[in-house]
Amino acid sequence: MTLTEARPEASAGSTAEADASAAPRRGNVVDHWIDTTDHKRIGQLFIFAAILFAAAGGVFGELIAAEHVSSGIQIVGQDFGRFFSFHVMVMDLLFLTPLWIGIATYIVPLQIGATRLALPKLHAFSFWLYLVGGAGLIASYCISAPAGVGLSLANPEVALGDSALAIRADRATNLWMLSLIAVALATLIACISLVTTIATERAEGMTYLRLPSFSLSILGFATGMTFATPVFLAGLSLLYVSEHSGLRMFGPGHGAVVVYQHTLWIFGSPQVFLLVVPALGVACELVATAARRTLLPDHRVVAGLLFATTAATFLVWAQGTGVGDAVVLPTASLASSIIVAPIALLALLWLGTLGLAAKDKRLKPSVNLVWVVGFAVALLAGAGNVVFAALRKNPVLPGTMWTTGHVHLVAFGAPTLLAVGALWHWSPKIWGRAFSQVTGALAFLLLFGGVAGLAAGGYWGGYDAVPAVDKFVGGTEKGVQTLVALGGGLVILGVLVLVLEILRVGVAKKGKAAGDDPYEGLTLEWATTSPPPVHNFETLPEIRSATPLADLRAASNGGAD
Amino acid sequence: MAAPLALSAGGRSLPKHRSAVKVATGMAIASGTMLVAALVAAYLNVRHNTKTGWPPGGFYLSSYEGVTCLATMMLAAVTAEWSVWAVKREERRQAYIAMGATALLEVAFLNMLVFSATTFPFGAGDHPFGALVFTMYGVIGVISIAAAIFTLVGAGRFAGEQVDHERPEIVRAAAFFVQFSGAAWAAIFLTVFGGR
Repeated sequence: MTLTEARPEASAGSTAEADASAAPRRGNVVDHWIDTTDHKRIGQLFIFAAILFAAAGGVFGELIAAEHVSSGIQIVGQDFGRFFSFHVMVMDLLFLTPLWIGIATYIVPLQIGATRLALPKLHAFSFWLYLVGGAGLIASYCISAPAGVGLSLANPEVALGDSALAIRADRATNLWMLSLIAVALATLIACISLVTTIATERAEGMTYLRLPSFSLSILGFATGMTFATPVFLAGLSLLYVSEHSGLRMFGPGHGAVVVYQHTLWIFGSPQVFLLVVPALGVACELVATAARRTLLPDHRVVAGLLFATTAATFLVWAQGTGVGDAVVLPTASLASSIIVAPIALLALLWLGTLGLAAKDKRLKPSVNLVWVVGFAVALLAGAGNVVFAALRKNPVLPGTMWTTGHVHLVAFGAPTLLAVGALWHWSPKIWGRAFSQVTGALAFLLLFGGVAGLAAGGYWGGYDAVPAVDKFVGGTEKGVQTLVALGGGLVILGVLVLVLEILRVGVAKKGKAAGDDPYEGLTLEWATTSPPPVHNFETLPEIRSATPLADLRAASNGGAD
Repeated sequence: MAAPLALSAGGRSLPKHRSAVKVATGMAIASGTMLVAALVAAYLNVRHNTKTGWPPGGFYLSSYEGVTCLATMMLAAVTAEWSVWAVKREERRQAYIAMGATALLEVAFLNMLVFSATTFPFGAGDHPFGALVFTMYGVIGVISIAAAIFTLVGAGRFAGEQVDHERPEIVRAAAFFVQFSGAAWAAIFLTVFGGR
């Protein structure tokens, strides 16, 4: 006698039963949002939380920047280290990675023709773990400045040296480290879930090489994070034991500081570049949608370049750690430069595709393309400054604002522009109503202008040898710091425009209904209603290429003729 | 120009469900391998950079306990494989015995691990050697708990007839994870006990 029902096979008939049990009761917040295993809601939860954390981290960064403008301004005072650490931690770990995970959670199952995530409960658990970890991280800063971690994660036990504060981990430090472990674990679980979904839930005919560009990029991103994040967890575990026991073996005297640096950078360097990979996928989608064809010369080439970029992210480790020359090797610069090649080739493919589409009079440009332009300009500016800094007569010293500017431009600015661009592009599908193109242009101008200000100020300060983290000293610094503060302010305004647009369209349901396929899209997410039903698709078109919807449209037109 | 499409006629049926649990377990094993490899690398690096003796004087580790743990994990790997064999042949009694034995062996390993850690003549804060050993023991403890739970979930699903000879995926995945936990302990054992 069986105790439970046999597990139902996935079939059209069973989806109706699954819908009945999965469909939430009207107006029930718990069913709708807290208890949900629907990838569309989990994705939105990740997106909302990431933007909320970004707003908090951005505001703290702006307060620091504002204080730097003039020696007379006192905002953060003695809590400078705490504010700075908060800004870095939140923006690095609680914003962009979860935002990409959120967008991927919503869009990838639709693009691959899946009815659900492969591991929906585990994925939902990862969101709540991320939320709890993020809240814990913020709470640790509210309790006090985590001992020994006043400035950043990079040198936690060196920062305070042998001061009395650093003798034993206090509650704030314990909470800080445990929260980071929770956030890292949540990221790992979500990435495993995404890879498993792509591997096992693809529709019939959807081979790996036919996956849409964004899904391909997420496959690379999630796989890379699956390999990189455990190293971070190892470093955090050692840090926790070291701090909690009072040993402080990563501080002066034990010779283990480089070990911690290694664990951080084997995670950190792939991670920073891995965040660009989904941005490349989004750019490919936006260009292909505007051109109404796959990218030149063939979708398989695009797939190869995206995977090459992912692989190259693991070559950039040891390009620099900030601890003298402990980890920098002669080959580090060459290995770091390799990643430029596939990205540059992709940019050429975008240009070629748009050019060909214009020539064939197929091009349907939209404001969404400006996000791609901004991304490309940001990366180009970053690469240009790297070359300029290397060839300069007076080399740029480590520990100057140059690094801050470069991080703001390449690690934060460029991928953030396309993450916001992705929300604009897929807003019709996610919320059933498109974001306004006018506010899209405004958001782009604010974000791009803000990123440009942050970067320009940083690079300028670096070339003038202004230290990266310091109080106002005088001289040319005022112009530098003012530029950085203005840039940060513009970024915050840009995020505000995004939040208001989400509230207008997603919550207040203003604006015209977008329709199911407003772009004459190429990929499967446009083959269903906007927003999609619980089970995503009633039926699927036959998949014989990377553009199943375009094939279907061509077949329909051929039949009509 | 074609109107925007929502649904199309003549679509194909929804896909057959592939084994998500095996893929997810494979990814988890890859992650776990990186985690253990990072700890082993950290241990070797700190040992290399420590100018004083390694382990320091008075830090005695009984290899008997380490070898016992290793033998326990090897047995668990065998019983895990036995459980897969039994499930595929619908040998229900053998499957229950094998899965039960696997879970018990994981618990036994955990028991010996905790005993070993609590009877160390040193603490985590006494020396980097202590911190590293305690961290590695903690991580392998978590992995073995996860392996035991995974095995019990497989046993429960088997009892509920959601797993049978045609759908043994979760038992197979659990066995892989148990074998990984054994391999992880072997790596830690060789690093800590073999390199002294």
